[in-house]
Amino acid sequence: MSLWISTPVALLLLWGLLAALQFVVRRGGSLAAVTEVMVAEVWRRRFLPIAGLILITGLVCLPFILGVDSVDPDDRRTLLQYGQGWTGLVTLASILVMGCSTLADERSSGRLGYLSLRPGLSYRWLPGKWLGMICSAMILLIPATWLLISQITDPEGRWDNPSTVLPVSAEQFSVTAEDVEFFLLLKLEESPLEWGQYSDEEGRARARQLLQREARSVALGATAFLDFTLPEGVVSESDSSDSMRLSLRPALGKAHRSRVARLRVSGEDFSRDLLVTNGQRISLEIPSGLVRNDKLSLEVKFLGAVAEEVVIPSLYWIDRNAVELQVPKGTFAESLIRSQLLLLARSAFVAALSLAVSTFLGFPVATLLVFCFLLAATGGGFVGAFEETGPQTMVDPRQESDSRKVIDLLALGGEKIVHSLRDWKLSSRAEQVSAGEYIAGQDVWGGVFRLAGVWSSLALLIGSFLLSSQEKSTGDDR
Amino acid sequence: MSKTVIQVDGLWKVFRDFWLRPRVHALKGIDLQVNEGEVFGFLGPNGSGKSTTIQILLGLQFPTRGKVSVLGSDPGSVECKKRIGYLPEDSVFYPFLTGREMLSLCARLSHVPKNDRDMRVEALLDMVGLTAAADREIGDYSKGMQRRIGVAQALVHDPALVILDEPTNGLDPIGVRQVKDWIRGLKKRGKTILITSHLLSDVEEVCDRVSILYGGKVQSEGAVKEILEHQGRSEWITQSPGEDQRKELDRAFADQGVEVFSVDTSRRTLEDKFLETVQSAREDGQETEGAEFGGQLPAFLSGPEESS
Repeated sequence: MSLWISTPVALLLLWGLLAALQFVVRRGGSLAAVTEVMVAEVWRRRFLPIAGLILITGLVCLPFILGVDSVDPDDRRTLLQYGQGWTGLVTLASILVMGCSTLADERSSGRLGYLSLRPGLSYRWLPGKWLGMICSAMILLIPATWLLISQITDPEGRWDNPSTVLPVSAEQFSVTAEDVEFFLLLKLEESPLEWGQYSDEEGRARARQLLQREARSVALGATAFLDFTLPEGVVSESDSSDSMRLSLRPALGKAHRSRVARLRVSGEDFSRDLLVTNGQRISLEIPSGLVRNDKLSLEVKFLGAVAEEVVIPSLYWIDRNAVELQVPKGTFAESLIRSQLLLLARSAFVAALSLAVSTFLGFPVATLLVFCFLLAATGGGFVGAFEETGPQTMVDPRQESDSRKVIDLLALGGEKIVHSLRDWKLSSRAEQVSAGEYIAGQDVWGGVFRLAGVWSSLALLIGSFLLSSQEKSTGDDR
Repeated sequence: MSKTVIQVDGLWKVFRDFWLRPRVHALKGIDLQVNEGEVFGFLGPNGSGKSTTIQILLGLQFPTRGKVSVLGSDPGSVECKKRIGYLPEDSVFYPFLTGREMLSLCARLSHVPKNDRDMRVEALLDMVGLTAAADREIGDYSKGMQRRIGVAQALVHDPALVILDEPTNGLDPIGVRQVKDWIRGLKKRGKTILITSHLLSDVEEVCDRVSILYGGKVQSEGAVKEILEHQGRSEWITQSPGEDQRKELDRAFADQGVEVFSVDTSRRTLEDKFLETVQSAREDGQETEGAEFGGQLPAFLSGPEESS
């Protein structure tokens, strides 16, 4: 769709949504009154119009800045990646500043004291403002989503809504407790001296580690079985023109970084030989006739390096998504809308956090604090980077000292906090949308429930408690 | 016997710093009693503790020591808040809302019934003379217009107790006169009013009783007539006597042993002259963008037994 049409429509949407919202909240009670004032504040103080213009201008200019054409799948991915990034950045930054400035301004001007004289308002004030901020985020997100969707066109320049794929992981990588127990018993029989030195817990951890490594590797000449369980009815739902694909990204070891190896994928009356390169993703079409009762079983045989002088003993699936079956499901527009819903949930949480923090901090400090949170949460991927204590870890006598214990305790607390931020990290689905992946409904509702429901309610509850227990003034003389 | 609306016994307030060390002793054992239907003046120089006392009565600040009861409840309780109207000293209203929106917001926040809301807002806008400026943003209002909207918002939920902090601050003489008329009108309808002001002549005109604070303590308290009475002196206002009559009166006073301290020509106040001039201009049909002459108190402002 032409930008000459979609841009004015986006601007009209921005304005129309605001008018519709004001019409709706004007009819409500005291909670709706607070929401209405919040929306009026961000609109009449030119905050929302300017944020909306920045957002829309950025999205409209993005294809020209990046020099991409949305017809090409790679360009389309780039455009969607940057477009969603820009939308997230502008929306979250706007909500952060809105949340921190509104309450800080009311506290410093004495308006908060004056308004809290209205009966029963203490516990409606933050939720009312929070709803207003969610509405503001929606007013920004809906036109942005419209612009992103309208920019995806087919080779003839018509609007396109390509189908997305649902990635299904292979089952054989999961190691059960029985597998661990059996393996441990076997090892204790085989080499009691080596395995007998570990405690039960250490032995199990080591056994699990070895099993997991083994399950993820295929030795030269050996065959690995890949079992996939597809979500119910997903094959019958998919369009016959879109077929399933098996996507593989094997690791051939450090010594064979640039080497090429052969791999055979087979199942029932189907067989294909593939040439794979170390760390490179490759995919092949899988006939849907191989699926029986929503289950698909494939065999992968590692045939070794192409070059005769090279010996590659095994290949290894490193990532969680190194082997996945891509089943056609849903459409791009559907996935984008779901991803934007998660962004709305993130905005809701940032709004609640900003409001809670600014009940006791001034605007600059509150903004800095929430900004630091966002940075920490965005870097939440380092959760798994903490050193794990395994059976091979030597116990340093200095670790037994009291000071070390205190440090360990603080580190543990820090880890718990960072770990709890994973809800934030996991609720970002922009990458998947740009990769053309399907966003499952349960991911969306789970994220919305955790971020916009549980965490936001907690933040608002704490904020409301702090607000109601504070002394206030109706002037700036105290 | 009239009911007690505000009862304060031995009220202390100490402001502390971040480390909880005492910073300011704002109130040092204040006792106060305000009865129903009374206009009570709360006077004192800057920093004497007036605002702090009011903030405590409103439940915005917590007393360090002492007992406070407002309308029979703890200050800050929902029951209490429902029945108090407050005009803050500073204009703390949203500058981006229009006068009508601000009043409507206050009505909604005070749970004024939906079918009553618009009627009350319009009646109050009419009362404060802001009907023509009702759709302008408060940020564009003059200080006096903001004060008028402040008075209106304090009355929107028909409170039993009205606390007015410097109600005439920033108002033109017409506004000052109107505020005094409204206060008298509210008193007639049985409302209790607590006023703080530095304009002592205004307080003297409308208050039944006053309390004068200094250094966080009540220094003087009582009925205005009693505490201002010049013991042993009286004032007569008569028709201007002729020269002969004047001499005759002087002689008569001297014969009776009554000392005459001063005799002066009676003059109108500047306020009266100002009001007369503006009224005349208005009658000539000259227009204004600012506040107009306000009206009477709206009918929905009920007596104490009827108010919620």
